[in-house]
Amino acid sequence: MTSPARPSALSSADAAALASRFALRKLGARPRLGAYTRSIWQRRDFTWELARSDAYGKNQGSYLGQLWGILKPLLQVGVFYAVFGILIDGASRGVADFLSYLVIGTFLFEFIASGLNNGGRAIASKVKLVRALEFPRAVLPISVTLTEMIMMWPALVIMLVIVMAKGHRPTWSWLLLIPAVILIYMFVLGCGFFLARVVSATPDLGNLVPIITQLARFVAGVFFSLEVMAAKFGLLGQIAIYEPFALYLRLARSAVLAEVPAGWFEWALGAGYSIIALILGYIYFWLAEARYGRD
Amino acid sequence: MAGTDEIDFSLDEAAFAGIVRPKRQPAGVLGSAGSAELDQVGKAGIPTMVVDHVHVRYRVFGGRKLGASTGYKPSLYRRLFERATSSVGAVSEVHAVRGVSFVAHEGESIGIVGRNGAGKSTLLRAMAGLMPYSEGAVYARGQCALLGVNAALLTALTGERNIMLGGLALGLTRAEVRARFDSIVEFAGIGDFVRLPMNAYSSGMASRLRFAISTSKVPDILMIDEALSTGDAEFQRRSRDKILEVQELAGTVFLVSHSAKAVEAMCERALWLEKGELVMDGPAGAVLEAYREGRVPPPLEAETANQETTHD
Repeated sequence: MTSPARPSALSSADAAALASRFALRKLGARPRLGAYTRSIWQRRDFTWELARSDAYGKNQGSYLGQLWGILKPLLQVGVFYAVFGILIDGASRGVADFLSYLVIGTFLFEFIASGLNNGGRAIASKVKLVRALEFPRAVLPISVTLTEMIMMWPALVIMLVIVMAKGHRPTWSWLLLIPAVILIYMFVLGCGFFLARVVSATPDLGNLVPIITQLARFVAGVFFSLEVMAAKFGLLGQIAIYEPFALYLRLARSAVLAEVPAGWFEWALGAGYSIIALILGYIYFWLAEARYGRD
Repeated sequence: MAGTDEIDFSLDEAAFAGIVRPKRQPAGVLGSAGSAELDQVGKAGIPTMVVDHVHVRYRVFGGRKLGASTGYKPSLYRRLFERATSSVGAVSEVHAVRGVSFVAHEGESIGIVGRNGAGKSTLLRAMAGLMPYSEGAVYARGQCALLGVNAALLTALTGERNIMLGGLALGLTRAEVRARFDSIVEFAGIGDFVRLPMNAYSSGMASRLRFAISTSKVPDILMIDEALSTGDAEFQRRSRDKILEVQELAGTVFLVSHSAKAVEAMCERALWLEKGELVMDGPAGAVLEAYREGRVPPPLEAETANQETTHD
């Protein structure tokens, strides 16, 4: 290959030897899992700042600015209540306090859905950052899902205000909302890792994620009681009750509403889903670390 | 610059020397201080970056399928079919960098010249570890910082937030960023604009701020991608100071430009890239003279003629 006039090159073996002699590190190589995890921990301030800035930026560029963080979920509840509480009678069957039930389901599912949609686009939407700075790419799915978490807080407060306005009094069990939200976050992040890699390799699949979350929205019992529906479908109904999305909504509702029961089994299953999703998603994402930002 | 006496170069002295200079020049002995030839070539010393037969290929979505236009007029059915499918699955792979190798040393400033689309910016990204390469290897010391027109931060946010974000991304702590905040703003020369979102900045201001943020932590290897073409004379002077600072701290500077003038002013060594291949590597003066005249070393021309494929 090399003609006499072309600048000569070291053989690959010599280049590697020269590099190791002067302690140069190889760029673009995937680090070991432990070192990778540590490097993510070192960038925790960056991850948090990126998430916070993104959350802030999303509501900028309008007259009401950050007020939209509260207005959007409120308006959404209004729409859902009008449709599923008033227009369609049957939806509220089997639920004593349908508004509270609906509000918790809507807000938490919104977090799951936008976490998955944006998690899938985590690399693609920040490709400029990926090409400008060197940092462990797993920071991106983490910070994108954190952004959704930050944006969910005002909605959670509104949610509790509505629930109290309906006559529920705060009890210690409300604190269970915190582990419920953490489990949901872990699950969303695990799926986000998986989707971010898949979508960055095949952007076409990014268009399918909203379709899947749409399907989940309808089968997870966001605006109707799954227990009432599931009774008609036998085994399929049981699966629908214990699939992750429905289960997480149930855990969150059980913390606030006495009429929704959840025992140790449900909590353990929810924790299992979260841990498995997070570990598998993280490893799957890490395996392709050297390939992000190619197109 | 001598100072390499203590280091044992026995393994790769010959090859190593060969890479610093083109073969046309007789390979000198490294470390022979005072040799005017060596000074001219570059301050060969301790390597900071080794680039070994790097190839970069990337996918481009949404373009038309690259088909041969043979000139015959296809049937109506065929034309309709091709029109409908030409934007489906339209993915082309661009082979932008084709087997580039060189070694860069402490204190060197290296210009990379070539025409538009020669693969300069892609090579620089691969060297910074920001764009995956498909073959070969890049070894580097310490931290690389790439400054380019496209190295955008979040334009919806204020300069203040971008400074914090950029500093943290570089691996500084919050306290360190706060300590450097004023000097960053001063260096960028944006004044009160730092409180406004970056999309209110002029392009010159935005690129000055990016430059200031990226160099707030002095990197071991600084890469500049046409960055000096934006900004006024005053800012260019400051940038030059920054480059000197990196060099003094034994770093290496790369400057990508299609302007031979900028490279001549700032670099002592130059790489000439043509269609993704390194055609010349040597003292800036000699390489730039050849580049200006479009004079490719003779045997190469015959070879490129056989490889006239831009797309794979």
